[in-house]
Amino acid sequence: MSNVLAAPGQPPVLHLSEVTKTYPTRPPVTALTGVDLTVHAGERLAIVGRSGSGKSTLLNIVGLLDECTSGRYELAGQDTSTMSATARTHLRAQRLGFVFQDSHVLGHRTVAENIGLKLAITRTPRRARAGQIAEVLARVGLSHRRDALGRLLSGGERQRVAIARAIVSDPDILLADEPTGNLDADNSAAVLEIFDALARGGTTIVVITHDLRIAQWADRALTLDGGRLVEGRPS
Amino acid sequence: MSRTQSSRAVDLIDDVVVELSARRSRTALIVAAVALSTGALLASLGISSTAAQQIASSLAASTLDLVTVEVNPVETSSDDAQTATGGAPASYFPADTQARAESVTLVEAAGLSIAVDRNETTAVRRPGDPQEIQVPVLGATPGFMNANEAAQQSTTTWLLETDQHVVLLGTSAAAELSIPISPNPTGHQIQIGPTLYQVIGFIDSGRIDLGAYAVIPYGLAVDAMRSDASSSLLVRTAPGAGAPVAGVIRTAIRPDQPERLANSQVTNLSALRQGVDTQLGQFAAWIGAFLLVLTCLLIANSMIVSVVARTAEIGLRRALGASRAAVSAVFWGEGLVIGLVGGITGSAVGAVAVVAVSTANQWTAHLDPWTFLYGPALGGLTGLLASAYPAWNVTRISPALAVRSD
Repeated sequence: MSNVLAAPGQPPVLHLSEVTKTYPTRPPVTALTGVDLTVHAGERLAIVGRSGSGKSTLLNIVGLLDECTSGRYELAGQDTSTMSATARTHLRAQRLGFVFQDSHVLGHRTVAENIGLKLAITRTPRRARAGQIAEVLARVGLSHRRDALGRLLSGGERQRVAIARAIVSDPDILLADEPTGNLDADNSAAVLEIFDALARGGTTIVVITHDLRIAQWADRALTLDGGRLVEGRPS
Repeated sequence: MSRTQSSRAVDLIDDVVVELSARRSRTALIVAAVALSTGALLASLGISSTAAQQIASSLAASTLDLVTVEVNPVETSSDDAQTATGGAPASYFPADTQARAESVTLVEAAGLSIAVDRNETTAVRRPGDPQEIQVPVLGATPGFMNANEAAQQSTTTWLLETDQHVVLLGTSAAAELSIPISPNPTGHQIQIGPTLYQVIGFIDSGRIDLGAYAVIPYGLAVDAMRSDASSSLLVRTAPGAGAPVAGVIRTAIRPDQPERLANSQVTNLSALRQGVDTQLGQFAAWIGAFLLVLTCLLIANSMIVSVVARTAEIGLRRALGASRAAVSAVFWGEGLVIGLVGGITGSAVGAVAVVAVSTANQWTAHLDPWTFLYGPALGGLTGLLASAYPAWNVTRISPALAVRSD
């Protein structure tokens, strides 16, 4: 059964075709089976499912952190299936931003230094970094915490730093894995507001979650069940 | 032991084995570090003891196994007066001097020599070649050559005991005369003064370095000097036997008038110093090598722990778009910096320690200025070597797994 689900009128920013992922364990475990997915620029997409349904696997493949066993994956019009590891790494740096459930904010570095990590990886000129960091901090409402050490931030502040770090290089797609999983309701709402602003600016947001509120918030929601994508929000 | 206690003991052992086995490389490194540190301590004790023995042996061998016997200067002056008035030339050493010397217990070899022209050099050239060089000429017996232990390329040294015009050339003298050094120098001659000499072999170094000499038969040299007053008997003894032999050698040679002779012990200070320097240097080098390997292991172990602790950070960097090489480079860099800083600090600490110990013992401190370059270089190299395995390990971390939340 085809799982192609696409919003009309916009060019796809990513496209998966018959993607399958099998882990070579004993016995082998197939996490994704025949996944077809098309996402358009500026779209807010939620992928929901129970634990073990393959959500993280899908995110890792979309995020070029892992390779599919079979199938085809095009990102920004480029076929990643035939790319070298170096090329995929470069594409990931230029086109993608990540936000994880655990923010992975480095406690021994300041907020600015955490965000600057991404700019160093993308080899942004040093003299331009301060300005870009200031801009994204303003977007996430943490300008006043620029010089604070990561370990001194609250959970909500850390997640906002993680978002700032993810978007500082202006990626095409923001991938978020359970971004509100460790946050209370107020902080969760703050994160979604930031995502809304990003989407309005043209950034595609793909959120992996088991939080139904996010599924309701998104423009489109897909459900992963046993490694297969099905249409519609879960009931 | 009750059943409960034994069960707890087994559980404990099981836990320990599981935890150690889970991080085998780290466990292996720690074990190796302990082994090396223990080994270094035991080795330093053993090597220092061995080096001390070697140094003591060198001391004994260098200073106490060569004795020279010469004519007492007081005796020669009175005999010179006799000669000047027409008396017969003095003969201070009996004809069987070598045999008498070698009959003394602990004497291994003995022989006579005499410097022609009283240690001045003599004009020497190849026949027909107008170019001449100045070479010290020594008359010597085969016994002298044996006692001197010079490296010889000749099987005809016994000819020095005859009155034939033969010569053993020092290798540097041969090179100056353009005479090729070979085991069979047939056909080569040199001219010493007006006389032609057949080259029968080549000599080099020795307890007395003969590389620049031309050595002719002892008898011919004595005839040229008209007296053996400037002759010298070289006696090589068993190691450490120089002193007792020196006490009896004059009487053995001239039991009638031992006062006509004077003896002294030959001390080769240069060789002694070099020997001690070498042995101490080897001792220090081995200990240092042990410690460096130990340091390498300790750094590597610490970095492996760091890699494990920073797995999530490594995964994050990869997710942000850093390549394997870029993430690995961070650990290479950390190892290099640790090594360089450690090397610089170690150089300073070492220098202070040398000065402090020297001051405490009222020695003169000796510091090699190059130490302050060797230290950081060695430290940096050690740090890099230690980083190799951790840096490689980093490239194997899966970013997808590393950033997962449990």
